[in-house]
Amino acid sequence: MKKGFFAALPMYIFTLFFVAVPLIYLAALSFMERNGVWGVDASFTLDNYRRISEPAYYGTFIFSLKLSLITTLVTALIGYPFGYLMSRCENGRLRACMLFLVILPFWTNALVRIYGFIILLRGNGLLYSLLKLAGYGGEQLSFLYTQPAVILGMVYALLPFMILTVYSSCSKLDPTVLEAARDLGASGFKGFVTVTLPLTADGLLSGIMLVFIPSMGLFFISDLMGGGKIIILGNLIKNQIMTAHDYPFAAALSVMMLIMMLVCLGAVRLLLGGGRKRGETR
Amino acid sequence: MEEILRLENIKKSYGSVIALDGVSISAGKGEFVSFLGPSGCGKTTMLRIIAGLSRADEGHVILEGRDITKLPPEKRAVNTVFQNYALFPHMTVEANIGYGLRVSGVKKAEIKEKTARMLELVRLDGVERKYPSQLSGGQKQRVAIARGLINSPKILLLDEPMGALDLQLRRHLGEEIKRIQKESGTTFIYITHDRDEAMNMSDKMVVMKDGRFVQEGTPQSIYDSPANVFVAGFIGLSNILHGSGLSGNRISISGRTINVGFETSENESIDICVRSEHVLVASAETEGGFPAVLRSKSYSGGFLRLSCVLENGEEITGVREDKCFDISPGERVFVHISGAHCTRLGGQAV
Repeated sequence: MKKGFFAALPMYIFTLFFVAVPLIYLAALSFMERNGVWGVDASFTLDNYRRISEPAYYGTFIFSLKLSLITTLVTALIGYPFGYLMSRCENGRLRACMLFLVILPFWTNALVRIYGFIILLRGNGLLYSLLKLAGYGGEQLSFLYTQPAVILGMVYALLPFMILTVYSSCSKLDPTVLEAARDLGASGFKGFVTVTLPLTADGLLSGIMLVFIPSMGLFFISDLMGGGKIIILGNLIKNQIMTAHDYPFAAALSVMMLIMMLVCLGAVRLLLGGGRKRGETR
Repeated sequence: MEEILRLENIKKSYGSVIALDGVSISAGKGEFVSFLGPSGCGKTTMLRIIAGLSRADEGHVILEGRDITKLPPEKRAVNTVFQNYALFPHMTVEANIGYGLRVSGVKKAEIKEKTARMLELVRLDGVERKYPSQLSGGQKQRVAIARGLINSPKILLLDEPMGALDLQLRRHLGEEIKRIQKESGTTFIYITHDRDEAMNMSDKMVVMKDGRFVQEGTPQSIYDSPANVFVAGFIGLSNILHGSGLSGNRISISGRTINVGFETSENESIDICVRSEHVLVASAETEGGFPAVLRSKSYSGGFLRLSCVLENGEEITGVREDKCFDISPGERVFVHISGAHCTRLGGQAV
């Protein structure tokens, strides 16, 4: 037996009971049949998966994927420059202050913060009143309960994860390597693409994972910001459990979601050039 | 010699700290110029200003007659070997070396050919596909030099390239750098705080202190006639003596008089330096000998180095060839200073 096995034993046990067993249970459940209001029949069927291919459900998958991709893209476009610039900030106090502001929202419940957005964005809400004060005489705002509103909520809730992971990998970047790129004739942009981006890709990738994965499941954001009109995978699964009491189908949806995420993340990883292949000691 | 680089009155300060206090210099084509000075003397700042990585507050950088003071680093025909080499960790050796050509859109075949030529120049074989983290310090240095030379810069700047290497490697790599410089015909500007490196490699040497140039010249001329006490001390001439002038090329040191080869005038304060090979230590008193106390003796390269303290408290080191000099530390000796070999130091004591 390998050295250190016993020291790591608690971790193995933890992983077995809290990750492997639930996953196996979920996968098994997805092949069973619903029985009565809360019950499940321990039989084998592919019906749950067949149901996913029905346009209504299949459409939610596609829609949810699209929404998550947009959310991740917007988050990366805002979060990467923010995290990068924060790491390059030479004023230590200003940097600490920015870091604090990024972390601050975590001190309040996410649900409460989303309610805050509703108060702000409502047709005759805070933003509307402010606009009216500023001389805006148009109709009431109609931004809330639309798809962009849901994306705004998602981006708002998940942005700190992107900023923090990008920041942490950009702080490790040796600035003289960038100077070397400039010195050798690379313009600022070329230096960024050929040196900065590849060397901070791991941070960006972690950020993408931390944003993309939850963005499919944060049903309360699509519920509140979308006014119940926008259904993402999280809503679908929640409804199957809480409303329809169809555990096997919810399990099948979850398994499909898991597979879809793994495929997407695998693709992103390939795209950003698998940073771990080259025997680097960092 | 054709001039390639000229610095005109460069000034730079960081807040209230003055890094460069108006330095001017000219470097010729194909020359090996080294800047020698203790850390914090402004030599790295000067290098960064030549490379375009820092902006001078005042003054001009002229490359081949063209003012490049305001050009960004990528527009200057000057490349740098950084102190920690700053190799791209995510690229192979080959990709690192070819980087300068790749970003300027050179064709692949040409990059491959030039990279191979560079690898040959720096004598690196079989590491093309390795990553920087898999290389030794000496190999990294060669990659950094090859990467800096592939764009055929007018000048290669080297910022203490030996700093991260161990002593044994330094000597050998110093010779290698010199060979690469000769073969490539490129002007090298080399920054170091190690006088041996500067002495061995340079055509021209500039000694720096507190953001100023203290002395410039060939290693030989600086060694033979250091401008002041600081230079003498920094290039390792330990025998610095303080005396006062007498009329007629004579000075008085520690109560004795020696005849020297330079003009002196009555009562002026004079610092002189004399190399230890021109100081003879004897056990018996003879004409003109300075009474002193032997402090320590050590063997070095076939010589016996004898460190003595004169009556006025100043230290002086002499050498003897015979190893059976049987006087022990603490005993009385007599020191003979060859007046003809004493050099007068200009400037104030530092």
